[in-house]
Amino acid sequence: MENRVKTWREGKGWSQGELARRLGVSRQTVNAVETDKYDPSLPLALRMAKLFAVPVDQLFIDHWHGEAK
Amino acid sequence: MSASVESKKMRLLLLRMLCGAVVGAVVTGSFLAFFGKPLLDLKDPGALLAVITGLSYVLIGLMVWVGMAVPGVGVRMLNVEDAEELREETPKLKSGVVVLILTGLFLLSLAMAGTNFLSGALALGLAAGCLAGIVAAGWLGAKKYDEMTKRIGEQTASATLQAGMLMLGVWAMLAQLGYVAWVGPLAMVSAFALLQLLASFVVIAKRGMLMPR
Repeated sequence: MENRVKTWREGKGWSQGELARRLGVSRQTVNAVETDKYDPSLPLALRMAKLFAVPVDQLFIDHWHGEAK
Repeated sequence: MSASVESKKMRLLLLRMLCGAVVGAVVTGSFLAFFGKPLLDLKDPGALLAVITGLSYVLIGLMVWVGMAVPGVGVRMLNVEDAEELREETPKLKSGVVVLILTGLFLLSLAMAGTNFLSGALALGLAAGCLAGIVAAGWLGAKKYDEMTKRIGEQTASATLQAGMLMLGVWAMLAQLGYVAWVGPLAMVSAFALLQLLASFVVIAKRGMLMPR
C-alpha cells in the first residue's frame, strides 16, 4: 500500500526516531512503513493520522476500486 | 532510490551473507575437526545436525552480542541507522541474544551427551536449564516487541510450522511404510530449530528488510 507518512513526518520536522517515540513503536517500524515494507495495523494507522491531523485515506492510499456491478 | 545506490546495497548484502557463511563454515569445520571424534558420534546424523544447527545459533547470538557491545561494529552489522537506534533496540536484542545462545547450547549439550566430556546427567541438567532460560527470556523479550516485530515473529512461527508439518508428514509417510528409518528426537528438534532459523531469514528477506538501510 502506498503511503505519505514520510511527507507528513518531514512536514512536521520530525525525525523517524521522533515519530517512533510519539507512536510507541521502534524506528525500524517507522522506516519499514515509510519504505512500503510493512503495512501498519489499523490502530497504528489511526494513531498516525491523529498525530498528523489528517484523514487516514490521505496518509495511506489504496488503489483498489472495487468490482463494477 | 537510484539504481547505483540499490546495486551498492545489494553488493553489501551479498558480502555480509558471504562473510556469515564463511565464518559459519570455518567454525563448524574447526569444531568438528578438533572436537568431533572425542565428543560426538559422527555417524549419528541427528548429532551432526544438532551440532551444525547449535553452532549456527550460538554464532548468530555472539555476532549480535558483539554488535551490541561494540556500537561501531553493530551499526554496520545489525542493519540499524546509527548508535542511537542500536541503543533503542538493545532491550529487544538482549533477550534475542539469550534465546539464540541458549538454543544453540541446548542442541550442543544434547549432541555431546553421554560422552567423556559431558555425562548424560550433566547434559540433562544443562539442556533443561537452557530450555527454562529460553522460555523465560522469550517471554520477557516478547513484552518489548512492537507490532512489526510481533507480526514478523508470527509469520516466522507459521512458516516454521507449515514447513515442519510438510517435512514431518513426508518422513512419517515413508517411515510408516518402511521406506526410511525412524528419525531420532535430536534430529527432529534440530531440524525444527534449523527450519525456524531459515524461516526467519525468508520472512525478513521477503519484506526486503535484509537489505542494508
